[in-house]
Amino acid sequence: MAWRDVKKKVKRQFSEILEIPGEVMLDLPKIVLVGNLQVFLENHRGITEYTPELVRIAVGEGEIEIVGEGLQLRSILPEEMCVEGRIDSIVFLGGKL
Amino acid sequence: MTLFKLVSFLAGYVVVIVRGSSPERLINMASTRGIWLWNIKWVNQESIMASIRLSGLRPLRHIARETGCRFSIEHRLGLPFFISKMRRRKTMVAGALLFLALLYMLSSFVWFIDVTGNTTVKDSQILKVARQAGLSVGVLKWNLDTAGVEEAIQDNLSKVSWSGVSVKGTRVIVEIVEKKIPPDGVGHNPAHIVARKEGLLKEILVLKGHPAVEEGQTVSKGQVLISGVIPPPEINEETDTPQSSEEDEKLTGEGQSQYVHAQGIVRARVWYDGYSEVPLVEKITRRTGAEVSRIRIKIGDKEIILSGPEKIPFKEYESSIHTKRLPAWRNINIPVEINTERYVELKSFKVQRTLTQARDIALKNALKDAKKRIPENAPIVNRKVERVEAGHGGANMAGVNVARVKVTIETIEEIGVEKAFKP
Repeated sequence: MAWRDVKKKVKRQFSEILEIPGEVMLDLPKIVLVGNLQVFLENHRGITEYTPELVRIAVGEGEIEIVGEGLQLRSILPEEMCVEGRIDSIVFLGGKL
Repeated sequence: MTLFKLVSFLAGYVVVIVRGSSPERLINMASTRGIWLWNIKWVNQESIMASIRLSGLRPLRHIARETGCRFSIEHRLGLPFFISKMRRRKTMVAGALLFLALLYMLSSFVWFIDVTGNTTVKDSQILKVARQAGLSVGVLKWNLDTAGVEEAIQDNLSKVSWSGVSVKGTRVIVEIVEKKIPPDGVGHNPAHIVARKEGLLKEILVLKGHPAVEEGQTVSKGQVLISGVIPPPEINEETDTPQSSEEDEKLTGEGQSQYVHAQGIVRARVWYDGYSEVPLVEKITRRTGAEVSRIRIKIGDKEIILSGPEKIPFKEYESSIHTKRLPAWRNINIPVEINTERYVELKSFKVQRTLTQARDIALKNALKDAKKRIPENAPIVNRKVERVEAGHGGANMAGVNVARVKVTIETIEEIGVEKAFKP
């Protein structure tokens, strides 16, 4: 087992014991969905692709793909973003979250 | 978010259109450098529209150069742009300021004067005095000395006992309280003194007039006690000197009797009866102290309970309901009302009394009953308590179930009252 995986496992167990939310300890994205109209995303690493039908957002390890129609980026802040439009699906791509 | 937008409006923001091969890179770089972008959307195949604050515009230029994008400003929004726009439209700003100034100026005059509370003094009279004191339609509000006007009205109009001047917006309200002047010529009109109630005369002191009754006499209500008609004096020629007889002749020559406004004090013994009966066993309902209030809103035919229980938890209760309704305006009647209801729990129980207890209570009630009718300052001279045992023999106490008490109170009081008459 690679050293990195061990470190990750220890971290996860640590956060489970102390009940620290994952997005703080493990650098995971926190996603809040409001119906199929809005997606709030915390802890992102920037967008990698943006079209009205598809938004791909880089997170800790891997990407999140939002597929929909008429997507807009309501606001982008260094830590937080909001996507608006008709959302059809949210897919986790690559990486091990 | 709203706060963000408010700050953006105050600081000013622009809507830009970005063209380039990869606008995503520009967005990423902007967000990592702390430039806030919002409302990002595609406008057509190759350009993106985004909003950005004025402070972020210069850094965005660098980022655009680095990422190979080009942007142009589409709209300028926010306070700084609004101000610069207004600078170019000086006349409109001047007009707005003039409007405000005019509104302020016109609202600083007195436009209406209302006079209230006067019945005999005429409005025009009051307004005339007020004008002399500096209150008239068209004067400046801050030049108005309300205390001075009040004083002037009180000083110059003898019929006014108090006046109040208050400013409400452009309306001045002059409140008037008039003096209550007793009817003219009191003490000169012929009048009798008559009995206010029946009683036994104790003493009579005639200051003016002719006594019509004697001490120790029983009088009935309305009977003349001191007459305002003085009969002509009896002429006794034997004792009178010639001079005085001349005078007498003159008097009798003028008229048979004199009419005066009778004055005097008439005291009499007056009796008051009080009666009360108290049953030995009585059913009484009394408040327990528990209460529940409920607020209901009524919209049309529907009723919604806003607070309080659905069902009143008391077996016996009394309720009071307050209804609040929106004021009707013209023909529009909004069918919404709020009912505040209060329910007070009642409990009924039987009270058992002994005969003495019942008699005590009956006596107390009877005294109270009698004293209600006695004037406050009348001294009580005598009190007589009488037990009435109706329908039962006094010896057979077991059969008595009601205590009846009758009291008679004797007072001495002034019973004379003036009554005008026409000779």
